Amino acid sequence: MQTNQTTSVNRPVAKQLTLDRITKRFKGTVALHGISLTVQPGELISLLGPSGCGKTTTLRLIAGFDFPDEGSVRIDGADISHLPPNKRGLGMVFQNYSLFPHLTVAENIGFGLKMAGASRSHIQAEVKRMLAMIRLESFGDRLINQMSGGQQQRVALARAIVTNPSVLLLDEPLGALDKNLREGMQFEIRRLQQSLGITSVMVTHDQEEAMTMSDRIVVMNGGRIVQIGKPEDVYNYPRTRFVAEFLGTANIVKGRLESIDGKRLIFSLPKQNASLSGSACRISILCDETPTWIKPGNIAEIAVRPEKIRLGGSGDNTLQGVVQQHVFRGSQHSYRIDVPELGTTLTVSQFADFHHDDVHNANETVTLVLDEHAGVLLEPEDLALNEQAAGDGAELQQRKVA
Amino acid sequence: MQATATLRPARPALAGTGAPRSRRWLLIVPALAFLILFFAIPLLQNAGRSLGENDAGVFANYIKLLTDEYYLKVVVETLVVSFNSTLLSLIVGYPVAYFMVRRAGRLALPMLFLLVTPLLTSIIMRTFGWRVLFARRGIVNDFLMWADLIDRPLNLLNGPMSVYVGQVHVLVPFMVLSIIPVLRAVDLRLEESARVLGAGALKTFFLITLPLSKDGIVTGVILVFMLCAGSFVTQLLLGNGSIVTLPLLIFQQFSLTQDIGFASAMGNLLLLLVLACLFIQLRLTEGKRGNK
Repeated sequence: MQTNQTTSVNRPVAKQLTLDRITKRFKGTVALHGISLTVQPGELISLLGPSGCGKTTTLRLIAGFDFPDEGSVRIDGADISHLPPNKRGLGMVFQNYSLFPHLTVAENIGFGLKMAGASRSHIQAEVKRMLAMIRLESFGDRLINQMSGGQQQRVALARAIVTNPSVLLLDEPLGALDKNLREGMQFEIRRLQQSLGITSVMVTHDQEEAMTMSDRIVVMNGGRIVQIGKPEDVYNYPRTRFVAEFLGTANIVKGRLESIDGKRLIFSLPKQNASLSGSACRISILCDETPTWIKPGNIAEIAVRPEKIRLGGSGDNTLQGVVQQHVFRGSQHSYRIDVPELGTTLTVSQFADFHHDDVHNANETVTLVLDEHAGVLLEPEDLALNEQAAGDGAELQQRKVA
Repeated sequence: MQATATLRPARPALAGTGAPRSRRWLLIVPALAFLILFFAIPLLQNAGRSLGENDAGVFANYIKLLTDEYYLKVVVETLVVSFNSTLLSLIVGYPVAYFMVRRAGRLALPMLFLLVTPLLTSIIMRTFGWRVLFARRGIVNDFLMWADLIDRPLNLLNGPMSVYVGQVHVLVPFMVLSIIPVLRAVDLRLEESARVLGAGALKTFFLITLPLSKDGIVTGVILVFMLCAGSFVTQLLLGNGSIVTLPLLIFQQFSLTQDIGFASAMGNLLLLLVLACLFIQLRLTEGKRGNK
């Protein structure tokens, strides 16, 4: 309690949060398989993954609602793994805000300060400052159920940060808002978090939210961290098929490694049936360092983002396809194109430019161009798991093209 | 044809919601008739009976009731006993409800069963049970003697203590059953929020859980208070005259003295008192009612 008060009075110094090889089991099932993660001071990190991937468990372990079976949670080096939540000095925004319905807006915001034993005048001043910050100055005496969803969201945020927490936890903070409001709040929360420089961990299953708000994204699956990286790196260089498909859309094709030419791996794309015979086209992929797990002649999976395939024009690697379906999505055209040479259907999206719109209609034959940066080599999932189990950490495995 | 035939039965049901207003009141006729016949009329009859036809005046019974020191004491005692029993039931019942909702897990259902089963036995049986336990050579005295806490058997029966024990025993299930659903509806994440904001377990309970389960407490308190204010079996069988409340007095007036007019007057006074208490309780707990 004492430490809580001192942090609430002084300006915060951003703290580093470390999760060190944390394992958590629930009644025999393993929810987290020794995950490690370091959140740098002032950084906002998103835990992204499907339900049951362990992201919420991770957040609850940081908050202190659950305790790890192995490993530790540290803030600036101090082990807090087994402290109760009220001794950790954190802030948290819950999915449904969890504002106290029997208290007013001002009492909600001041709750943390009151618990820390702050003086009445200090609480009043801080609550006033917070209400001004979230632009709800005149709402202090309202009850929670008299506020709209967006207003409640802002009150929840104010309540969480008024104590100057060392780490801010956000549990699907925008999940209950409708789409327009959500986009506005994404920027607002991000702006606040950056201006206050609070180390933050957010849990979300919304990839767009994760991309908009985070410094780095942590993609989780099955209780493991699959990949950590900046939003654009994770999007452009997904490590495994799971990441490629979870974050955005991806065409996954199997390719045979033909040869290695410096940093350039040349793959041929065979017909995508059981025998993987023939070679429809070649695709070259740039790799910083040649992965050790693949040798010429091996088959590997390659992800091709829909917007990286060009329609029309010429290039080194082209394929012929027939448009099956065309959807206009406002900012882009989306096509499903049947490619007989590959024996599969690819999703292609093109930036919609209304000045010279050459829309392709169904049954039209088009040329698909795969440029040098179109494809990304994917690691087999089991390999990714083994590397993580060996304690390498997904972070080190991040591939970046120079 | 087929289609219309299958549709037709659905029509009146749909229309029912928008039925002519003039005929909607028909729905409450059975309940209303029952209430008038078995509640309102007897109540009025009772009121009529309490007004004496004797020469002492119409309100003689009430004047006697409100001026005689003995009867006034009984009125006060009724309220005090009801208040104390309610408070005791709350103190005993709330932790039980809390445990059942938050901690019991799979034990919750068996616990609920244990809680409800006593209600299936007659209150007289349960009260006599206490007579056996509290008897001079009953289990309680035997245990205290065996534990060397007392030298000779205590007189546990026929005092206020045994009345309270009996009352609380009978009333606690009502308190627990009123609190459980409300407590169950309290969002656990509200407690978690409080914890993250620096509140310890006790503070969280008193600042969050308890206020949010207020509705259940109010319901339980009203229910128990009413039941208690109207009960006389416990006082009769366990109190042996040490606690005299209005219902007990009514019972005596009715069956022993057979002064039915006076008994009716006491009944009406009791009714008014309980209604007044109910009113006060509701006003006191209204507070920030806007929140739900």
